[in-house]
Amino acid sequence: MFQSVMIIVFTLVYAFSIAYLVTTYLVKKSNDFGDSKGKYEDFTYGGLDLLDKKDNVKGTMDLNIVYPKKHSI
Amino acid sequence: MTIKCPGCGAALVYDAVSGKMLCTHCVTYYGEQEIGTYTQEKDKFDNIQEDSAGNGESEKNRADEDEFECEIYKCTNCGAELAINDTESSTFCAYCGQPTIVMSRIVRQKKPQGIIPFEITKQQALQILRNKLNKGFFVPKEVKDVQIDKVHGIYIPYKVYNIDYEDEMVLSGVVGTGKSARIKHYYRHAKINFENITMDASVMLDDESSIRLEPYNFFKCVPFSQIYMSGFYSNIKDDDEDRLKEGALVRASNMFDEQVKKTVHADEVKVQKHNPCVNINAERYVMLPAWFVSFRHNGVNNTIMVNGQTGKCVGAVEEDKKKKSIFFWTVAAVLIPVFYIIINLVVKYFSSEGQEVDAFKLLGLGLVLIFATAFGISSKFEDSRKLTKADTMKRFANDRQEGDE
Repeated sequence: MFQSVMIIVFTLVYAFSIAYLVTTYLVKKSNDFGDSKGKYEDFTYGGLDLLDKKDNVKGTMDLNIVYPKKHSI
Repeated sequence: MTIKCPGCGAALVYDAVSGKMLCTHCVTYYGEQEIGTYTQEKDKFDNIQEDSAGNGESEKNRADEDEFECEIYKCTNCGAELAINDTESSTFCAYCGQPTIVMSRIVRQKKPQGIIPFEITKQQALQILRNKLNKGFFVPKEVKDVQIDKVHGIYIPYKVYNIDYEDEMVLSGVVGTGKSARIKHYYRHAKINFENITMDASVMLDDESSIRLEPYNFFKCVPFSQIYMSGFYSNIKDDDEDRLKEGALVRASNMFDEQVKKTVHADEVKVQKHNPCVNINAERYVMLPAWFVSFRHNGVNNTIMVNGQTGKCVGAVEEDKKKKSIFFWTVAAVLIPVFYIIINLVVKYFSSEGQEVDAFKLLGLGLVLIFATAFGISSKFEDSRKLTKADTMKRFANDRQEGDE
């Protein structure tokens, strides 16, 4: 009995929530224009230049490069 | 002030199709060299300033708190007085409809270094928008057939930055799944040279709106010349320089981190430590084109932007609630028997293993994911709607002289 009730409850909730998801997605696709922003590719021609990489280092690793800093974030 | 046609004396406007000045009266096109009216314009501008100095202040004092501060100028064509938004640098005469470039805002402020002229005409912008609206299944019929109230071609002031960004970082990421999951650390040293990161420099326009107009093609950016502004509105740069610079750096930082994270093959990648070196090697003040299309639906003002160079539409319109409701119930009705079968199969599978409760736990988790995704999409749509309905957007587009309709 418990199992049958739960199956019906989950069936209804799943059906309505997927219907809500599909409807919301399609409404957005239909009525929302140009929600994208400028991407990384729009602002660089050379791409990422990976100068050095090491996998599996210690989390406490020191970062030692000293840059002539002009702007800080 | 008006740039006059050398042939008939009527006002010239910039023609986006030919890239030349057009006299709509005698249908003659003029190149930039043929115009050469800057000196005359400046003289006229000085006269306008003198005229406005006498009574402009008293008019300003009368303005309500909700209104923009205005200055009063005389139309150089018909002599009528014009009220011009405090941050505008060109407008149309409300009385004779002539395009009037108000030099005051350009001369007093820093002149832009570059401008991307309009490539999309007003008719093209409207056509692009109409096509978008007509394609939308959930766009109400009233919106598809809506009467457009106003269409403004506006040059938006932007600061554009070239940024060299170099950083060494320690990142963490989760590898493996379940009980074998563990955190690993990674070292990365990388650099990116960013070019033309744009920041909208007008306080009146919401940053979230202007950022959605991107990207612009800066190969077509030309040195600033007033002739491109004839026939269009424009706003001058009134945002804080430090805030714009900071915003550009944050954008560069976010894009850099995102790219570096992609080089790490792990889940939940986070930056633990970093040591950035950032250099802004160039910055420019430029004017970028956009069409602002306004209409009212259900008593609500909507303003949709169209990139004046690429034709990209930015905005969101209200959905047809009746159609949405019918669609929802139809989909739900189709899904009920489908899910009844699937859930029965899942529960039977788990029951045969003696793990009935686990089946319902799994199904519950699935529901949480579905709801989270649905609400995420819904809130993004609502954000877009808010921007389209925003009062600042309405004011940005509408609180200008009307003479172009």
